[in-house]
Amino acid sequence: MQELVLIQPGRTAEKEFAQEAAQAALRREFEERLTECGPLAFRVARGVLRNSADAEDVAQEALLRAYRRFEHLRDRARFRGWLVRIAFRLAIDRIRSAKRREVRETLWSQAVPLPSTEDLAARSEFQARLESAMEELPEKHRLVLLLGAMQGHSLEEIAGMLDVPLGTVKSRLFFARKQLAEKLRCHVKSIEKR
Amino acid sequence: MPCEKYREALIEVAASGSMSYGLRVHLETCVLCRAALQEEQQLFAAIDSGVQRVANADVPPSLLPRVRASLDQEASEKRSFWPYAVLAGAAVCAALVFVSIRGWRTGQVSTPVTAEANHENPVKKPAEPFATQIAKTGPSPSQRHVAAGRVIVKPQDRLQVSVLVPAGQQQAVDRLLIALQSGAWKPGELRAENEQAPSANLSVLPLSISPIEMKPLETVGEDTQTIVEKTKS
Repeated sequence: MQELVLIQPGRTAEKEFAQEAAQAALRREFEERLTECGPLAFRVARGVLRNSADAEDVAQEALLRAYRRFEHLRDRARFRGWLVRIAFRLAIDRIRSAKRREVRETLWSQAVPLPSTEDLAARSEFQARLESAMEELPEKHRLVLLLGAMQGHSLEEIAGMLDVPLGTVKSRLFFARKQLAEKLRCHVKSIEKR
Repeated sequence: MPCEKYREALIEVAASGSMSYGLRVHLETCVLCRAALQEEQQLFAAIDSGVQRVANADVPPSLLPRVRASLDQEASEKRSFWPYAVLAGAAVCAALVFVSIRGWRTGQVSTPVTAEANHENPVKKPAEPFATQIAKTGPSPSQRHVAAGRVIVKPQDRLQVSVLVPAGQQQAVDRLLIALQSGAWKPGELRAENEQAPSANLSVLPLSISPIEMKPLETVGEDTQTIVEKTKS
């Protein structure tokens, strides 16, 4: 018996083959960037969320979104900055919705979540305070601070990634560190007194 | 406590690392300010190392496999959507063809038209569906070539209709359809081409017309008269 296959006459088989080939090429190109930029997305999300599990979810979502729109990205050299912004925005949205949820739950049950003993043991007091202080920074300052602290990122690269002048990056970084110092100075002094 | 005049300057120096000449001269003489600067520098160093710890967290090894798996899943979902859409489209088209054939037939039965009216106001016949046209005239040689396993033929419109064709002939069918649609190939030319070089799978019988006896009208009239007389007798 002769084998039959299902095709769509309006769309030529050649066109389909070409589309499949283009999709495969796109996937390969994305894969190359995925290995390079996946950790970056995770770290940006981790810096905002302070939780690895949530950061992994956010990084995954950011990478999926980036893949869906990768085809339409005109300048592929800007992929890193684009991905960083997606991951940062998603992380901020997540933390805001988590806060709203927390407020709702607190209103209903008045239950305040306590940090686990593991958390307390793992994080030093200073580190915990530092992370809280970072959360209070303006978003733009926080993103520059995180990217600046990541290994292998020069200020010029950050400026390129975020599409802002180098001077803006420098000033944001300066003010972010200064604000952190103001918040943590009293704490350091109280530790020294002990 | 550092000197009030240099308090802000000390923080700026610790944050940026650049120092003015005036402050440098002052620090050489003021022990308190030197100690304050050292404290500030320690604070900023602690902040920097803490931020670095946050920013360079270990990436879980499960991240990239997870992303790849979700990319694969998304691609397979995209692919699996098309056959269903194609089948649904084909079903809708088949239903439309069926309804139009039925509607046309019932319309013909219910509206008897007189010959006179027909002559003056010729009633427009509803356009015959393509499937019926094929059924009446039979497939053309080019269509017959692909008719071995075909179910539906829709060469005129560009609807997303699914068609069954013999395996390995998708491209040939597509090329043929494109050529016919674009007008690069005309059915007549195609027929002539096929007659010149008939393929092994295709056998086209030559058109045979039985010879017609030609008679002048007068003789025809005589013949009918003799026939009438014969029947009367």
